[in-house]
Amino acid sequence: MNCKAVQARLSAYLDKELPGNEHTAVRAHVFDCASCREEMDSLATIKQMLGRCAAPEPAECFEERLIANVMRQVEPPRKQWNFQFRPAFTFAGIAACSMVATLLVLQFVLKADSAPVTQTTPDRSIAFDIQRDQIYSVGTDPMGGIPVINVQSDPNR
Amino acid sequence: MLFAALRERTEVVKDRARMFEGLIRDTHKQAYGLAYRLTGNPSEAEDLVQESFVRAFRFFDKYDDRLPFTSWLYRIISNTHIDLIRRKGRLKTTSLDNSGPEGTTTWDVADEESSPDRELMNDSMAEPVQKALLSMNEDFRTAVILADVEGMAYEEVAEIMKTSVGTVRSRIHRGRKQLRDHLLKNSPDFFGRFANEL
Repeated sequence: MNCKAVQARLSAYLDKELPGNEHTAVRAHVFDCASCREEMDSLATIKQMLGRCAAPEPAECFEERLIANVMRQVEPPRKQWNFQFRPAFTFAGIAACSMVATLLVLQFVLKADSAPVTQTTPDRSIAFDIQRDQIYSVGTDPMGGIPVINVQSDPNR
Repeated sequence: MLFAALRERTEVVKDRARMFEGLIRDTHKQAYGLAYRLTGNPSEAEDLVQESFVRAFRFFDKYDDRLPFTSWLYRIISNTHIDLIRRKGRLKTTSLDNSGPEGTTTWDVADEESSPDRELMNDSMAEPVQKALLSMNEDFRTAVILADVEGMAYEEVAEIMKTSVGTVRSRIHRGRKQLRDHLLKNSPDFFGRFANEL
């Protein structure tokens, strides 16, 4: 194993993460090679340094604050209950909206059907004046927008 | 009958919450230690721990209880850390080549005056190491912290980081070299002192 191959394996060697034969080869090389030994020592220093860093301690009140915050986010009892029944509520909501929409549409359609009848014959006395041999049409007065009946005698009779 | 089922379900939920609260009490210090190393300041570390425990609770069904809870939690902390950084648009790593001793780089380290961990950060050992750690690429830093600070085996680190053992080996090696070079460049006295002590 040459220096390049050894130096690429030094961290794994220090961590005892190399396969047995590679571990032996690196150990043998480092024993003889001063520059690789120096490289290994500097990496070992870093490893030791990190291992000795004291773990930072959280603030004293952190534990209680953390539990309160986490539990508030994950375990509101009402939210659990709502979650269980949400599909039912959703279905009920959709059904209610559909019913309201249907009623509105029906109301509109019925109104549209009945409107000409009630509006074009507001005065029944006019209808009595229309003879069987007369042509009549129903329309709207262009000036006033009032519904009117146009009556015209059939010239062929 | 419906009420009985509801009551039973509520009891199960409460038991689960009580059990999880116990886990938080047992592991929050270790979680904070890792979060602090990853984020470099107490406030972000607290946020990271909180978000990680919330995720852990939500995905608790996926936890394989044959493994230590902390390993699973560490994986969540590492992933949450990456997510939070991405969300903040801060996935910006600092090249060691661009960082100068005259402060050409702004280090994201704790405000020493306001930090509750002031004494620890003033420790002559912790500060240069923490600065060096924060100068690293996220993946290298996480691998090095899990292996050297938390003392995990490569396989465990690979499991947490969802990558291969070969990649972990490379990240740890390159990460240590980055740390060494950073310390030699920015805190040579500190590095020399420490090396002589060994």
